Amino acid sequence: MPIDPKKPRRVLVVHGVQTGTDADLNQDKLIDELIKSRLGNIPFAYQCELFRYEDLNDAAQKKFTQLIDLLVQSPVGKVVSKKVLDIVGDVVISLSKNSTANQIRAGLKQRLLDIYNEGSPCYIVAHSLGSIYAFDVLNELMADSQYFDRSSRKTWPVQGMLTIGSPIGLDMFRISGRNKIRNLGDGDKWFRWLNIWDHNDPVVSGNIFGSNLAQYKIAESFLSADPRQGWVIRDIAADTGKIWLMAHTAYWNSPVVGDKLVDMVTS
Amino acid sequence: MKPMRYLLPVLLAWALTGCTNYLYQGQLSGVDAYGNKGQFQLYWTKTEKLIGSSKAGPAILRTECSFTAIAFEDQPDGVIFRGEPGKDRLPGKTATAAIEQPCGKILNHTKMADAREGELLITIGCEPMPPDEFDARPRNYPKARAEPYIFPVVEKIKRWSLFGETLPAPVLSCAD
Repeated sequence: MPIDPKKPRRVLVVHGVQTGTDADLNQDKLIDELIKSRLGNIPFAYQCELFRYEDLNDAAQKKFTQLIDLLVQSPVGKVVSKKVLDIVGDVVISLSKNSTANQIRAGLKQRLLDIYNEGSPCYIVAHSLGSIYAFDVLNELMADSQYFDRSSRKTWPVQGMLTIGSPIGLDMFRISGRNKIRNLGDGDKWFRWLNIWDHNDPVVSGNIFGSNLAQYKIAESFLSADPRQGWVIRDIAADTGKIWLMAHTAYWNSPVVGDKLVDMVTS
Repeated sequence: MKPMRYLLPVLLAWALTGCTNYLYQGQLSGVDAYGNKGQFQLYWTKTEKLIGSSKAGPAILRTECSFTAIAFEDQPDGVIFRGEPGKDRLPGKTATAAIEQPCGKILNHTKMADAREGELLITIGCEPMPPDEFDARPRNYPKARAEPYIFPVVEKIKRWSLFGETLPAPVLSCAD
């Protein structure tokens, strides 16, 4: 079914590295509150939902958790090492082409196609590692000739993508095959990818001390001079007000993120 | 002597993580891209660390009764609003803006971290493309003109904290 621009907009949130389980995640609520706070008194119909995949990651890491239980004796050590494994394991899974990463990508793609088949315009908000999965799936959909006719946005399962705190500029993700984007081809429509990052976010820069970066090209490094590329890509360095690792989780209530998101989903 | 043992690490943590958060904002009446009178609101934040360089921006420009949020960001040529292909164009042209088309500039500062309370001079040199069927409301911002818009900017919030704080920003209400 082609997209109906009059239907309420759907915002699909893709979370990043997590501890805990799917049941603990509420990033869709955070984005919903953020949008509401920036709309003011202007009515606008939209709906947020979260694509969850932490339980898949946890299942894949179970054997390592059991090993840690054997190796680490103290109760504190057990808790800390499990959290570290939970986080590091999420990253390792995303880098690989193993069955868990494929399952996550397939699940995200299916959810996007379900929304597309309902005819609803869909926008992705992807945080941290979630931006890697979103990037992969988006390019996969663009490679499919059924979707993304550049002359008609009604054939687009994703109307725009906002990434926040994305590590996609790091070498470890570039060398794992993410070094270019799909061209949309001929036509007059533009796909928008807005990448907002905080100057001190160590996950974005890969600098553990969160050094203050400026004018760092992350998503924009995917731009080419080819007029058939069809993407508008913008990196926006934003001050979230927080420093170091706290900056990585501060995007959820940043007014800049909210205003740029409202700008995107309403157009 | 024991308390003295902890003084140095506490002072070090304070110096490394303590910062002051600022919110600056300004509002102006003027003519929008469609020739109507309206309100424009500008805001940005700045974080000053005790040790290390400050970070700030972007400055966000909102237009009354519109969903448009224009970002003025630090670029090599100054603080620039970069036009978007498919959304902006030069006045009087039918073709859309190029990928890197500058559509506006903050004239009296070259970096957002240097901007502060007082007058902020902004130029607008583009106009929105005609809306398409996906636009819930037409894209809108101040009308393009040669002379700058002058925003009277005030320091609305100034707060010190450990690790920093994400400050709330103003929202323009819509009278229509």
